[in-house]
Amino acid sequence: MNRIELRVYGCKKYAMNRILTLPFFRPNWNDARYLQIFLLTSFLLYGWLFLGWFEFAGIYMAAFTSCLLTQHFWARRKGLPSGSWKSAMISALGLCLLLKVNFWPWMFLAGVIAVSSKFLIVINRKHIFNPTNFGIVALILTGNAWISPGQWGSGELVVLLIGLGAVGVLFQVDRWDVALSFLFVLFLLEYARTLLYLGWSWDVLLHKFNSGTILLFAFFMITDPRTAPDSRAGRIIWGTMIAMLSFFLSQFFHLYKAPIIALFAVSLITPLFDRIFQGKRFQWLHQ
Amino acid sequence: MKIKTVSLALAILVFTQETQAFCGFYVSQAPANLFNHKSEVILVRDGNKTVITMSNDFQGDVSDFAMVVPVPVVLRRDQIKVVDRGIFERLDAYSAPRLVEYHDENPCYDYRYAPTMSMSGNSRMMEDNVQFELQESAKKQQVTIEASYTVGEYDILILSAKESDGLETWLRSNNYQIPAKASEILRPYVLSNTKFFVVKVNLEKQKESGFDYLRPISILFESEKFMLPIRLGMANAQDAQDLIVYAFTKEGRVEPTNYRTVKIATDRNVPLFVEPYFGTFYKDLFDRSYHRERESAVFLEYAWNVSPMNGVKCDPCVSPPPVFDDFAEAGVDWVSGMNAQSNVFFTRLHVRYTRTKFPQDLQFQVTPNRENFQARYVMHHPAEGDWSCTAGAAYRVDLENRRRLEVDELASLVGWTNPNYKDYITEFSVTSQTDKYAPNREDFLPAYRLPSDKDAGERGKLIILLIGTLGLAMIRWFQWRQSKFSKIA
Repeated sequence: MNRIELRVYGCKKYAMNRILTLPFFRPNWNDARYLQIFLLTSFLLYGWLFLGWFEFAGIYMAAFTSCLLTQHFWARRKGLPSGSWKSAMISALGLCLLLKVNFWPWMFLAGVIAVSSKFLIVINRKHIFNPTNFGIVALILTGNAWISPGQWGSGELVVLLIGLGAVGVLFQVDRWDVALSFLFVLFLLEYARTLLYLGWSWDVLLHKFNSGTILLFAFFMITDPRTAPDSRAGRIIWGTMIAMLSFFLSQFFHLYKAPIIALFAVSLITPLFDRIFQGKRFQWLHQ
Repeated sequence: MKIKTVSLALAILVFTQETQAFCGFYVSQAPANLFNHKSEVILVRDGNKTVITMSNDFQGDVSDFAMVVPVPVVLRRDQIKVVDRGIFERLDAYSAPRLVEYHDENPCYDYRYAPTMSMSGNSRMMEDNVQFELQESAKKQQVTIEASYTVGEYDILILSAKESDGLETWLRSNNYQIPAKASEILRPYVLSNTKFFVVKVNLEKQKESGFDYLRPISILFESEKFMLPIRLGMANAQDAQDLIVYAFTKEGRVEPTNYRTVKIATDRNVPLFVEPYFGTFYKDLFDRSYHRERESAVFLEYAWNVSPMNGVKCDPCVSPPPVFDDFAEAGVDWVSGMNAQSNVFFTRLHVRYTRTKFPQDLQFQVTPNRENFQARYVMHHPAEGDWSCTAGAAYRVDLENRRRLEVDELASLVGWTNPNYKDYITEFSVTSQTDKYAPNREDFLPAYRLPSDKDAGERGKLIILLIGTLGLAMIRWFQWRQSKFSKIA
């Protein structure tokens, strides 16, 4: 920025440019993680205040602290750019939204496990498990944590909010294909079984999909661009597999945690997908 | 203002009862309108083992009684029991919402009260006459009678059907007056390979038993499913039905996975004149909560760790907590005299369901949540004696403020209004004036929400929506600005 530019671009644009170099405006706003953090925080606030999830904010604090601290620890060791706190923040928000614990140390442990899995369970320089998903599964196995699939209720407003929010993020990171393939295949399978074979009515089917949990899962968890397969074809097949496994587990084994387990299981073969279907690996935008 | 705690609790059974069928629909001969208004169920879950005990408050000619319940497997004779009704009354008394009182200490000096306990119950039952006959013509309708037992005063058949039409025909030909859409409702269960547990009363055994009421039936089975098939019970119901679930598990609280669980409002201050109307109070409170949650929530009314080794099993204790005999009756078999270290957790859920808001059967999960919870409403008695000292003036102000809050709380919790309530704020002995403060239940708004509480929730949601939209707009603006300038530079 200098006088030549001032003359070329004029006062107003020069001023805008100067403002944009100020510290607050330096972040790269095209990084989709800001939008995702904002959306997840809004959902969390809505749930906490209006749906009455927790009275104790310390559990949320534990999640944020543990995720950020663990990320800081590993980032320094691996020399990551300073913007990586955003990913940790998203993991923390995911844990707060989904995982329920009795005491905050368990949430702290979940944060540490979740973020550490990003750095420790790596094949071909890509981490296999979605950190939030890994943290949830690990804690549930300890028997001191649980998830409440019904915590959102089934209001249309919830569906709308989550859907709209999702659209914003997914188009930016170009991962809408996973979400759509998952939901479409799952809907098809549920339709076939619930409506055609068993003979329930439409509202039973819609009630299953009206739940905020399945939508959050579909739009914000499996669409994690760093853990989904790199190529579009691979992602669509991957999403389909998760939907099929989730349907199978929930219908025939009556596991209500089916989507979480399905994602965990299918993540184990993501490296295979990346080998077969080559694609460009996703990188977050950094400053 | 110091508060001296004295516990006085009232346990109330709050709902009127008509004929009952749990998780099954009443089938009868006469085309009477049958309403299932309230059922009580005890659920015990241990791994894959489930015990369901269904209460039965049928009033009428016992030969008219019949019940159909879907079960996942064919039950053996030793998996079916008849238990005493008392267990339901004991669990209800133990976990019902309670009204407690505190007595303020006199700000000028202190003195002591002796604790008192009193209980009152309130329930009404209405009679319903049902005609009943049984015939068998199973083979023709492809209905297989898998098993047939006589347990206590009941004759039990376990049926499996290949087609729901066949089952419907069989039931009709045995003169069960099933509702018109029954085969549609039965179809998903038939196709899921569910068996049907059909119960009628064996008249000779019933006379022998000496009971003049029908005792609850308890069934035990192993299944991965942990659910209550409430859809079947909606078949012949036009109104909302209430269901109270008493659950016992090893790990912690039981909650539904496909519906939202809401804790009922608790620890709220209520005015003194609520005491004689507590039953109505809780009924109205539940009504309003039910409507506030858009008729689609399951309410938690009580959750407590009742392990034998756990010290405090209630606070305040309204009635004795469940002990070894109660556990045995309920079906909890992992606790006995030898095994007293085991954990037992008790949950009480209350759901009012309708066909439209509860399209799916209730699916449950056992969570490790061991937080204690109870529905408790608090009255504060003003200090007795003379408090005209200097501290008394400040106490008076506090007292009036508290009473004002209590009256507002009453309006928002249950919607009661009465022009006399403003007298309550300054009137410090209410004992003789209960009728003056009787609730004007006809006057309050039928919309279940007073304007004041409608705004509170909606305003907050609007604010969040506004902030959300603004935030999104801001982020998009930053992005646009940035992309614009990166093109220039």
